[in-house]
Amino acid sequence: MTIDQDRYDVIVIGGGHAGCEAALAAARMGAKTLLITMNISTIAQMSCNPAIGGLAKGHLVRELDALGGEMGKAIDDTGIQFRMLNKSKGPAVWSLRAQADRVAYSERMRTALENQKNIDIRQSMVTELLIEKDRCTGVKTETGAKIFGRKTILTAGTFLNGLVHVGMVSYRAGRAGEFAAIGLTEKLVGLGFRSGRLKTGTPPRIDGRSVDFESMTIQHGDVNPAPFSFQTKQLVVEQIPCYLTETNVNTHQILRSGFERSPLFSGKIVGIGPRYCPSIETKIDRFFSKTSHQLYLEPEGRNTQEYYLNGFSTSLPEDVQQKALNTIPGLEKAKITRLGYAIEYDYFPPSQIKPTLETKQISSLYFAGQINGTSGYEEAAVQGFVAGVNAVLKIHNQRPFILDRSQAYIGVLIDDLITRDIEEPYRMFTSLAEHRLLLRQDNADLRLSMYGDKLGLLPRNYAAQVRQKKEIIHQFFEELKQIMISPAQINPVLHQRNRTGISEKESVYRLLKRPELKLEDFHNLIQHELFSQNQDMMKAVREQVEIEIKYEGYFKRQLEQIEKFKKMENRPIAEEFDYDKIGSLSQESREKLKRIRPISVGQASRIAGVSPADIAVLLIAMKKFETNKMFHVEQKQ
Amino acid sequence: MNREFSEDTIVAVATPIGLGALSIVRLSGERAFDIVNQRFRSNTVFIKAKPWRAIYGKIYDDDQLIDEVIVTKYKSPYSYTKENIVEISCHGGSYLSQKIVELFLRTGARLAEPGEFTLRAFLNGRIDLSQAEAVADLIQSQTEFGLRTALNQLDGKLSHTINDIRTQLVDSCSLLELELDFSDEDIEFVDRKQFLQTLVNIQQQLSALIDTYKIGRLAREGVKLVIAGKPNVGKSSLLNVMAREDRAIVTDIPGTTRDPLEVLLDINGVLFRIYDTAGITASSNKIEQEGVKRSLSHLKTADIVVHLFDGASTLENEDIHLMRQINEAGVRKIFRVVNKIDIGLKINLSELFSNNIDILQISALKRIGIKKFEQAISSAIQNEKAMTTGDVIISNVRHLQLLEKAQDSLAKSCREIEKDSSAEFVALYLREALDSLGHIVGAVTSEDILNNIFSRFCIGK
Repeated sequence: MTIDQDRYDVIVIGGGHAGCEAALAAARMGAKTLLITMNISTIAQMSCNPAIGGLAKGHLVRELDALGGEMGKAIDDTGIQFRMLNKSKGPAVWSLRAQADRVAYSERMRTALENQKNIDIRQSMVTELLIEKDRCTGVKTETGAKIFGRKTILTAGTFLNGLVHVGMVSYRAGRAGEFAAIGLTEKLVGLGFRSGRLKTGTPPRIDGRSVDFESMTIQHGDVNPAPFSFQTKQLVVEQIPCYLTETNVNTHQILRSGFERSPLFSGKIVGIGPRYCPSIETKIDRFFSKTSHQLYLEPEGRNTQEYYLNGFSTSLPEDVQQKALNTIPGLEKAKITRLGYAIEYDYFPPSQIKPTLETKQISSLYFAGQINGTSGYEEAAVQGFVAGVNAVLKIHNQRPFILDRSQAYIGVLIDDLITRDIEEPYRMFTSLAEHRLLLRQDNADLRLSMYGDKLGLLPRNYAAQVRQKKEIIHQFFEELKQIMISPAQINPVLHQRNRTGISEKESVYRLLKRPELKLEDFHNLIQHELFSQNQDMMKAVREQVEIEIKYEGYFKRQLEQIEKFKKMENRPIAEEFDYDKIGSLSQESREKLKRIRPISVGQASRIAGVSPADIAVLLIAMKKFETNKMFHVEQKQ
Repeated sequence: MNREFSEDTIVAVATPIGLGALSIVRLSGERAFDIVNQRFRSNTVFIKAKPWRAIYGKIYDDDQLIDEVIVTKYKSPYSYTKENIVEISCHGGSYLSQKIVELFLRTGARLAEPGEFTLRAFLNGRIDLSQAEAVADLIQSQTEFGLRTALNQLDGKLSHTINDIRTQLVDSCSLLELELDFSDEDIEFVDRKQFLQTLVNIQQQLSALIDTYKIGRLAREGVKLVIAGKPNVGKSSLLNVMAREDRAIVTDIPGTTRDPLEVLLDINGVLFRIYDTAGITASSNKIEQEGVKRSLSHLKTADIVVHLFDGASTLENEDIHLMRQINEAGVRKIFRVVNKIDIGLKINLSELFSNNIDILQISALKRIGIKKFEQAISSAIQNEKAMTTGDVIISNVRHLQLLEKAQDSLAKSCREIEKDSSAEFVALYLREALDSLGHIVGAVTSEDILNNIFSRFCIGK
């Protein structure tokens, strides 16, 4: 059967966090889009912990939101606890994290898809891609149906040859209780792709009715919770607490007794797991001197008693999981609702994709999410978005949408994927963003909304508002240099805080650079529009003006670093560039450059093993290449 | 590791290293004129001078004359690199040309990479393809050769030392990133005081390494030894004793002798540039005042000062005044040498005792204690070398520059800690330092830091 009476612009395979953003972005840009998922009921499922955001991940969500993605709004609507992390640090590393109602989030995303014009949703398993002359033209499903699409985005998650492990028991599954996707990896390998094997894991879920919360530490959300989305005016939410407990030597002893039946230690699991998120057995094995490990009980939702036991990811046998659990304070009588397990799955090392996430091997085919070796909902979502946007841009022959490392965490993430050899699940960290002082979650709208606007993914007038906001920030920043404060005005405040006062008039701008003073301190001292509370935008403007003034020196330093960075970034390398023609490249560099095919000299310089000398040689060869090309053109004329 | 090839101004010695009548120091880049202008004095206003013409003048380091030179401006695009170029013909020998290069490095130029002038010439379309191919091979071979020699040289001890410091820095960076990226983990974070102590410790190691450049320079260019003392204490006698015939060094190569009062001597295998200073006394005589001023400036740049005392008389105000002046000059190594011990010791030696200052007794006239004295001064430098970093010596100006940059960044991160700034601001500078060191031994990435965190801390709640 051929379903081509309605041929699609974009086919998205997979309904996870990458798939949803990909489909929404494509459809919102006017593309006729099909989302194929193996199970419509598990669209936007949170396979692991019921939370969105967190350190560095919160940045990704804000950036996605500023560009016109859905994740931020969805979690604002379905979050059950919101916390701004790292508040004691500088603003660059603050990050928002929210507990989600797992079911509500999934439904909320499904609703967004269903309400979106241009999206068809279909439940089926894709077993084959339709390829014509190295170009993907559509998909074939398990029932033999052929569906044609101009662009195909594969967001397979952990489903490709997924293999679940609990103790010595293992079975094929894409997630606990769901089918694995069989056959697709082999088809892709047949087309010339390289595949690898990764592993991840998840902790047991627990019946809250069997938990003694009294003996645990309670953790509440923020009193004034901040929303993820810049478009969410106010967050009205009744928050649910989390609980803290910890393992002890007893727990460890029991866990250890199960090591000989551990698939991880017995060599049964071959995939590489994330070091930043190890299983509890790995933790007690590697850090054996540590006598306890912290655990968090996170609610799975508003209307359920089920809890997620964060920090207790395990693939030990069922009996060991249960026994070990019951040694933990508060969990003495805990009943497991779902077992912890490990899952192995196929991924495709992402040096095989371009910054648009289109594969180098097969054109019109895009990879996004865990298939590229990342972990995390947020990492997946931003990739889905970038793939969806670029698929549509390519249909219209428009310039690709690529953010660089100095513009966004999204840029850092994708650049890392396509440049580095990803051998363990990749997660976002602030330390990976060399320009993090400027890539803050509080200014994501100022940094990125112009792109979302240009792509047509933001509400009308929204970009104009952000532009206006930017102007006001700049204007007030300058005005505060002119507004003078006398010693009599400010010294009482300073003395009260045990700081030395000032002896002469000083501008608000100068005074704000003192760590002990905040913009709020000037509220009653000066008459300024900044403090006109009635305007919604003003709160954000005040925040920005304060940050910009306080940290101006550091920001300038980072801007200088970015300027240097851009010089090399702005030297593109032609896609057809022939590295074999450069005699003096070292063998290792040549091999890597040929495989990774960097888009710029900057990216080339970030490839491990490519030396500054190689870069110099490359620059020479590029110049030669250009000269030759010019020569050919002249000859043709 | 980003490097721009045409935006900044580069400098290097363009003539082969070794002895020759002339050396040429070349600068290329947008700021070439401006940088030279800051150090060049002439009757012609350099900035306004016509290009492609020789200009006579002098190169100064602040008030200190470095050399008499002929300077030629080449205005973009009519130059070898198609950029602004300045060529400075100075007196031959590596000492002067290196000194001038160092001066321009401090003025805003960057040391040229191997073949970089030619590289720029090519990138700017000045030379043809076959020439450029040769450059490419040259760059590759020189860098590889450079790397190999750097590795072979000193048995890889330099890179070992730098890598060791880098490891300590990565450790420190990890502790900061741990606070930032894993603040929600169950981990104890680092005490700031302790952390600062670690950084100060690393700074000291860097300083020691940077100091070896100076020691390396001493080995190449000679140790400046200044003989000081009140009039008639026997300064000339001592110098005469030391300047035996077999130690005479040919000094008629232009540029090797910078001062008519300088005597070059090879003592126990160490090259010394010895100065006999005029007595430093408070004087109203104009000519004498000029002499005193020069003597003082010699003291300030001396590697070793030999302060001579008259053993046959008691300590005088003049001696004490000079002792203070030598102390204030910040000399690395001071010897207090008591002369005329053959006549009978009247001086109270305990008045000369001081920390880290050796006291020796000689008679220049009767040649008593001279051998011991020479042993002491020639081993002083070697001892210092051993005290710093074993046998690793920084001899490459590029390495020196990167080490100093790292040191500067490190100082900035210490200031952030003292200000009690949040970890990301401390990390900003710490990673700059790490990058600079990475440029010496190879690339550095954030991966190093994360790998270190994962191997040392139990992450994953």
